[in-house]
Amino acid sequence: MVRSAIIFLYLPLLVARVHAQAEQPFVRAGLLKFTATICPALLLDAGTTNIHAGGSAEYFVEDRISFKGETFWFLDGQQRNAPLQQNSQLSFGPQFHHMNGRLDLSAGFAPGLSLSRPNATMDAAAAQVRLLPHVSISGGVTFYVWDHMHFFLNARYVHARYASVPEGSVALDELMLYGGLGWQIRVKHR
Amino acid sequence: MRCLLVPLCLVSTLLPAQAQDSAYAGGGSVSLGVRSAFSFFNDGRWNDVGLGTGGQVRVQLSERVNTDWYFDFLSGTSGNYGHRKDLHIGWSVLYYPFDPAATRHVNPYILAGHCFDNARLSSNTDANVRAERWSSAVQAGVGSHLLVGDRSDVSLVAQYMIHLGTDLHAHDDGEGVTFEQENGVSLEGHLLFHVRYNYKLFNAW
Repeated sequence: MVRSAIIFLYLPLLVARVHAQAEQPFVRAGLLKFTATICPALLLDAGTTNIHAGGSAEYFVEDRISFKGETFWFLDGQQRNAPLQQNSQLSFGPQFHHMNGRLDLSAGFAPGLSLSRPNATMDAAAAQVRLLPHVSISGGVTFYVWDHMHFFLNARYVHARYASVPEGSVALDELMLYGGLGWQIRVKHR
Repeated sequence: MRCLLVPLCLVSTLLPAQAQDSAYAGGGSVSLGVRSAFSFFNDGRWNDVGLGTGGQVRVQLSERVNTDWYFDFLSGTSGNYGHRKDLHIGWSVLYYPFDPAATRHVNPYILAGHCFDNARLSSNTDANVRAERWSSAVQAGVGSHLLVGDRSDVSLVAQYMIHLGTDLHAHDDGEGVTFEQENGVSLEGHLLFHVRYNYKLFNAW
């Protein structure tokens, strides 16, 4: 009973504190962000779904420009007889931000590398794990709920091609939609 | 290609482009960046578009002259029977024909330079059938920086690169794929498009 009363009294103070913080510019140069999440990816050519575990680190080099590194570790295909056995990715590139209070809209591009292997149904001997270049464009929305935490929702299109199976090239183009909880710290103060 | 460039241009035009930080406007600035490469006309064919990932260090010599020191890893097809991986390492000199102080948002340039290429070709059916070739190249083209921040720019570049090396190509004689390397030298060119992001780190002098 006492605990409930304390929480009830503290709640307005917490809301007031959040609103007070919202009036200050929250994102600026020197902010470092991290995320970790699960990423479903639609393999556009095959129409199947890949499952990745993803993470990112992002540093704001300027007030509205950040440099972001993302990694997506391929876990499996959603369907049986998935066309890919491996399609893990690592990318680095800039993100351009438009801020509105605690809301952050961003877009950017990123060159990267994929570790890819088509399924053995094509040709077990030829379909080896290969390191391939890729390029991606992405956009997203972030809401900073607290000094050190944020919610995010991102969409990412990645273009790559596995050019070494007897049947020809395998298009590895994927559309990813992922979101969740992230963390941020300010490593440089003005 | 178009689906990548159009959003990028839109993003660049929507951003509040700013003048370059005066401390970084002249010579001496050292920058670091990443880049994506699209290679056309491989083996003289439009439809075999190679894709590459790389990076560059940019050292500005004077207000009108800049240099790019770059590395690219490209992947593409080699005819109908094989695939190739290329490593490009080289440099380009960038010249700004317009006064950089007057071009606050867009800074166009012409470029020329040298490149060394290591090409590794492999059969699509047998990974043990492969060949390797080193070549040197020269490149020239045009590009433009889109100044998107005090220290950041996005660059769009088109250049033609011509390689001097031995002619290496794939054959399928019915019994399997082989690679044939001709004697003498051969010229082989391709058209490269780059999308780059660059961040100015410090002034070296």
